[in-house]
Amino acid sequence: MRKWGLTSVLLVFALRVATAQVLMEVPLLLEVPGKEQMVRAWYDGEKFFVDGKELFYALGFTVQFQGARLEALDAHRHHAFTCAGLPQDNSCRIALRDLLSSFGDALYFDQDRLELRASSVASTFDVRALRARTNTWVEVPGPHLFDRTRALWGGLMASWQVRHDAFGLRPYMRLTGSVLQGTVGIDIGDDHKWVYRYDRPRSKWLTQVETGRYSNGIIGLSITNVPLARQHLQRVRTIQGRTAPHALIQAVISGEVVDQVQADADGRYELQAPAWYGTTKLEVRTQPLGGLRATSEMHYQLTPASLVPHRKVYYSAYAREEAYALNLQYGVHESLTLRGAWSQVQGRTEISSGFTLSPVTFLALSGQLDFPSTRWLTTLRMWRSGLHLNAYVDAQHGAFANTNITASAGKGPFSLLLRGGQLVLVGRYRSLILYPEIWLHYRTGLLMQANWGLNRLRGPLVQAVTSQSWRFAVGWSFARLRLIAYAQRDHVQEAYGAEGLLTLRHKSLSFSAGWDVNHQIPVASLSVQITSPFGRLFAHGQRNAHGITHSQQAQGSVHLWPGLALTPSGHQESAAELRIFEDLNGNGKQDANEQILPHIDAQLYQSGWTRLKTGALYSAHLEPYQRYQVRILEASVRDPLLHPATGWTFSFTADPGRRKVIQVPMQPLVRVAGQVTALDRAPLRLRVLVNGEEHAEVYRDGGFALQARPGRHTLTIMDVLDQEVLAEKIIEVGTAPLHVTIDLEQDRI
Amino acid sequence: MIRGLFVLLIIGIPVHEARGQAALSVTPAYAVITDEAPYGAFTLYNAGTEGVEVTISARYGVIASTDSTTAVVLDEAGQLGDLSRHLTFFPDRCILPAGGEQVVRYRINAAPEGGHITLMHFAMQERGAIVDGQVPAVATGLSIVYNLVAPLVYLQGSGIPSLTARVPERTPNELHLNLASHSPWPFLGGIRILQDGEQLGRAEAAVYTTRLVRVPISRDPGKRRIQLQFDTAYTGLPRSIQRILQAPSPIELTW
Repeated sequence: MRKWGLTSVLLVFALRVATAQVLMEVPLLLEVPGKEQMVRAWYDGEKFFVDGKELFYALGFTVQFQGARLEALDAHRHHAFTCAGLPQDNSCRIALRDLLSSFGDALYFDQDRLELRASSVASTFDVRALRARTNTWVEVPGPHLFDRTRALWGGLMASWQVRHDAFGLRPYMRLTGSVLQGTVGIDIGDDHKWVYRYDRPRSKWLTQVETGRYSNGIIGLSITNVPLARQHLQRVRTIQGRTAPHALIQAVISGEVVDQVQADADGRYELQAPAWYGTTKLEVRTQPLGGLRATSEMHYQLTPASLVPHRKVYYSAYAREEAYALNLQYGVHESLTLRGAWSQVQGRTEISSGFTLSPVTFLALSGQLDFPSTRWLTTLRMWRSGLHLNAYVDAQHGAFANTNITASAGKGPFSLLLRGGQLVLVGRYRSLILYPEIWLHYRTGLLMQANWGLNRLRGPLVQAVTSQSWRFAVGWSFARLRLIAYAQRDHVQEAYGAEGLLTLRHKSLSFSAGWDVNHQIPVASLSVQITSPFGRLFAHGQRNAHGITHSQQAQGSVHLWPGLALTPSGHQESAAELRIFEDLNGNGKQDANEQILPHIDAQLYQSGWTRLKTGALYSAHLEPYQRYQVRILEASVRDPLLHPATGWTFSFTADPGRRKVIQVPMQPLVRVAGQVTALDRAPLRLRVLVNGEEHAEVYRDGGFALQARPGRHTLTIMDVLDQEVLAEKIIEVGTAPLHVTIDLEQDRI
Repeated sequence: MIRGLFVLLIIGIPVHEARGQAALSVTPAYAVITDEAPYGAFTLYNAGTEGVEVTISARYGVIASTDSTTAVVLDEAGQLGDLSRHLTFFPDRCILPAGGEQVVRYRINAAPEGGHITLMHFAMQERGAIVDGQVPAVATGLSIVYNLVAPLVYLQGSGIPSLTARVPERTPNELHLNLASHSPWPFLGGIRILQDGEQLGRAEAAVYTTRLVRVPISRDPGKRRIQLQFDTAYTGLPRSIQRILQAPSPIELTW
């Protein structure tokens, strides 16, 4: 009996053990855009469970426990889950099935790979905030190696211009330079002026102080905090769309990928792209899976300069002799800016207030009301692909005064321009103008232009007078020559003739010849422009019913520091000269025997280069204070072992009014091939650091490859998942390729 | 039991590796360079959605044919010299994330006169996800390696290729030609088949040692004499290189 009893107890115990829930701990990889992290999970042979606390922390939620329930909260949402079993160690196991049903499409569980992936379009939690990758478009990507250059004395440039016309001979000179850590500009002409500016491009509250002697000898001072770089990030545009499932979508601006996501199983995606001041041209590239042909779509994002970033205040103020002014702008919303201004000029006070509204990135509306004049100004600007609209309306004392509308549209070889409006002239005269114009540019060179104009004038002393004008032109465009035959009539003359434009390498010639039917005289004009490396010459002559007129102008600039250089540009310009040279002695500076490598090409985003005779690359007309990104084109480097000491990509800040010389030393790097041995974990978890900086990933076979300058370096092996430093080894790099073995046991720290 | 589990893992990993979405492309698919510009670059692009590891190597060898197949032959290239001895390239390993691009630059150091060849091997392995508990031996040992091969030809000087031809097989619509090179200068270009001055068909081929070329023909030439004429127009070959290459003398064939 006792034996039976003991047997029964043992059987019951064995049965209980056999049917008890056996949980096997499994590692689960959580993948959200730009981030990977391991979270604890369990499998009982039927269902998967995940550590709720760890998971929700990783997804950016706040976690709290209410008995056997876990609550995950963020600013907008609240989720509650029942813990499987009692919370242990302040943790809570959540059935993955419950989690997925709660989050819907936002999460995808790959049971085979043990991966939990967050869709890039997930709106349930803020995956953007979780991105480990910082948004590259906030600043120009690549290391910023060449910052704003300041000098006590340097960067001097003299721009000169001589003009001869009916008013006589007028010389003009402008001197600009870097002086006293700022910039100075001196105009020498009929009335001499000078201005000194000190800038602080990164400052929040004071970006520029300016003082000088302005027109008529007035001395003044002005301050502002408006960003100096025109291309300052203003807002972020979110682009949503639908495409083939799991397609790769890229947002590209100026050749740079600013965002990249993968569409979810339904093909939905959400991209973010920057919208700078002015017009940002955005290309959305879609690469479907399976090697299908990629497609692209263009978007134009318009951001008026009068729109201030959300919650930012911009001011500008000046004080001059008997004149003071203060202008304030506040970004109420990323699409709405309010403005207020106060000024006092010779004892007269004026106040104005206004707004700029841009609800979508292709439309901007602004309005302004002035006191005490009660003048109201409204402008509307719209730019869509193929359609451009500008409208301007002003009113005074409640009555419309001036209206002006310009609209242009283009489709294929046709473009249409419509100008119209109403003007209030002196003496309460009103003029109504309508001016439609159509152009045809056929690809083989045929071009045609037709326009018709209507001008209706009304006033207190005259009846309504209507005049019409028209022009019809047809011609052919060759590679360097454009020839057009025209017939035109306006309120002065009716003429028939031909005109043309001849463009040569450094010269251009435009000419026209015709017959004025009204005055029975020939009409003609001739314009010549010749550009040389040291100056530019314009000459224009014209004969019409009023007689013969002519003018000539010559201009150029002389860079006096650093070095002496002549350019044909007749105004102050920010420029950059890129000197890519072979650094034979490795000192990072160009010595006399180190030649520029003229075959190496580089890409300058948002601008372009010209090759100088010295082999250097030169870019003029840069925006001062703006950061420009340079990418050295690797395929153009003929020696496979030469690498730029700056890295293949870097950025620089354009200095105001001076030529910036950027030296890129090309240095031979030595190959270091390595092998990590005695692995106790998957090698994909490992990174190789050279002198403390992340340098290379470890391959599946435990190998790694990197390049280093000759010298002593410390190689460190680190686990990226738990950030553990595993091993360290010091190597001496000479001139020959090196092979290194790092043993995780012998070289362990 | 443990051994059984290990076997399952071995089976399982290639299965899910094969579902990966890595897709490597190499441009150009081949390169011919001369002593005037003894340098160049290949561009690797990962058009897939998985990261890949690429190992690059240069091996002496050619793409050659028998009467029925065309395959890569290593360590033997007829009278063509071994270019891998005179070649420097960078990098020899790289990791390409999804959508990533890598330029592989190369340069030829002094080489003797004649044609030289090397086969650039781009061995691709999917990188896969980081898995915490993965056994190192499994992680390092098992994966599928895909190989892409791009011939790199270097011409030091110039010379006329010498070819012989025979017809191993023909159908009413296609003529199979087995072309053999007998000089240190490779042939890259077009082969035209003429009979009594009438062109029956044309095909393009690169002949390093032996090459089987299937030429589509407009009519059956019967058992009569045909003539093979050669030109240097080869798809993808820059005009500057086409000007340097020389066409072999025409060949009369009878069977």
